[in-house]
Amino acid sequence: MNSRRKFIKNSCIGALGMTILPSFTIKSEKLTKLIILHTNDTHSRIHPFKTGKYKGYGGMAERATIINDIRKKNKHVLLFDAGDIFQGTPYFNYFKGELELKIMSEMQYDAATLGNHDFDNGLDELEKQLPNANFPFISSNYNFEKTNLKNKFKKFKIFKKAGIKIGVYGIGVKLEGLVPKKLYGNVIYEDPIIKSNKIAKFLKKEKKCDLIICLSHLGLKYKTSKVSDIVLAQESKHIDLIIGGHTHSFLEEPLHVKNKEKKDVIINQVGWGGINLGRIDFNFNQNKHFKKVFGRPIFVKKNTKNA
Amino acid sequence: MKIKNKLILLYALLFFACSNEFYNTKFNKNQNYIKVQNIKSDNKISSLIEPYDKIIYQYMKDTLCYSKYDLTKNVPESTIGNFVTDLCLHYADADICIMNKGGLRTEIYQGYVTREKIYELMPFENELVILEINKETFKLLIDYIINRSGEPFSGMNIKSFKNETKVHINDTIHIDNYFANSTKIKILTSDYLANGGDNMNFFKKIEKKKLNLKLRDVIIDYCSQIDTIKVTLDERIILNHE
Repeated sequence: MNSRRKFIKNSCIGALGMTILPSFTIKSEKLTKLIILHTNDTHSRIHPFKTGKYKGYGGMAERATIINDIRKKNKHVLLFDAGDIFQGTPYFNYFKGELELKIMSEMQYDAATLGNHDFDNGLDELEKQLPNANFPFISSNYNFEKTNLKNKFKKFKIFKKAGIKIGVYGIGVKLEGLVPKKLYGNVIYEDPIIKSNKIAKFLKKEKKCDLIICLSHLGLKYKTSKVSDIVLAQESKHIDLIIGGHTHSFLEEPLHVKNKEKKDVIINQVGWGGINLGRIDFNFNQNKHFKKVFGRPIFVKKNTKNA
Repeated sequence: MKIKNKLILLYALLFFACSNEFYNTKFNKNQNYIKVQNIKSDNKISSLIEPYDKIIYQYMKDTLCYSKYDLTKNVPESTIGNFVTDLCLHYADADICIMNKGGLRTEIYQGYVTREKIYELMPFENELVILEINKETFKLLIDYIINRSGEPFSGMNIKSFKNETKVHINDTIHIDNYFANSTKIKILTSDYLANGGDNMNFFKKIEKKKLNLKLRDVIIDYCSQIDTIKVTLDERIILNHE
């Protein structure tokens, strides 16, 4: 259907719904809205794209405007990144990631996970850059025990918003064959499905989290049997949301995949380069169960008139 | 679905359709995305960026050459892949140059090509190396290229059909004839791929001859020596497995 027509149709039905709705909502419960904002594979794109099909899109100062505005209008907002913050523009070659992390700190990112390109200058340089981030990097299946980065990463983090407990952890892609060995050194890649299931269960059962979010840099899906977000979701029991990256997939809306217990896992990913910002709204009832979920990417585009 | 739930859903749709939280909410005609426009830059972030811009901006804005066409990514053959691998062979004594699609990070659009564009095309600090490989390893390389629906290369052509694959070096010498006279063939590639990057595992154990040339520097040097980029698709790879 023509999208404009769809828009009009939705608006009309919506308007109809609103006129009838009050009589049905008297008994309905109060809902708390939690907004999850997210990016992935921003690849050192500080400024909006200058040429090509993405011309005018992206830009960190522009993304910040949107994020600030959403925060102003909503009380409960979390902001995450699913990895590959580094590499792609001269800003990374010259400043080694310093600017990307400083801007993300200013934007008040709540957490990020590691992508393969975040290893591109090696472990020593990564260690030097980490203090530029005032938010934690969460990595649950990379074992840094035998490296200089031991204890630098969290295995999970629990956020509390409006009494709702949100458990967040991070899953990285297999580094061998993707990142030169000399750059990732003695980092051990642990099985993402086993690690993910273990930590999700821990967050759900032991820590009593109401929402489980996995920041993943595995990639959305593959033609081969390679583990992906789809596979991770299908093999899971407790994940509610996977915020993905790596495959630079532009999704028009989040995917819903059935887990082992035939319950929905939401998967979202928003392309790359900060062209858009992911937004997923969860509406929690008073029992801390979410009922309605709505997700759409927000395209970041500079006001070229004033540029 | 119960009628109440249905109405809640409709209400949600109305809310999101009309919400000003998506700025000048507008549906793109080609996509069902909600598009945001008229975003102003955040002043705090802009002033954070400014001192970094001052250091690199002028240098990166340098025009190196002009491109008549868009150099794009594609399979099995691409203009951007042909451009990079062809130019690399000017810088080394090798028979074939092989790169990977994933390593060429952007396309180059018609217009002036700045230093910044080349940094975006080749952001990695990869260096050029030469590997001398035998017939068996060469066959693994050809299989790899075919299995990946084509990767950027220069110096040979590949015609692969369901039952047969023909490879010619320099457009003329059949690969069997080549290996009848030599035991090794010289491959130019990046140290990343030579060390098994992008799963080019067959290169891992081969001895690497370093050229002390960064791939990006080579592209920048080439671009600054020419006025206009001229590159075409020349059917150097044909895959037909129907």
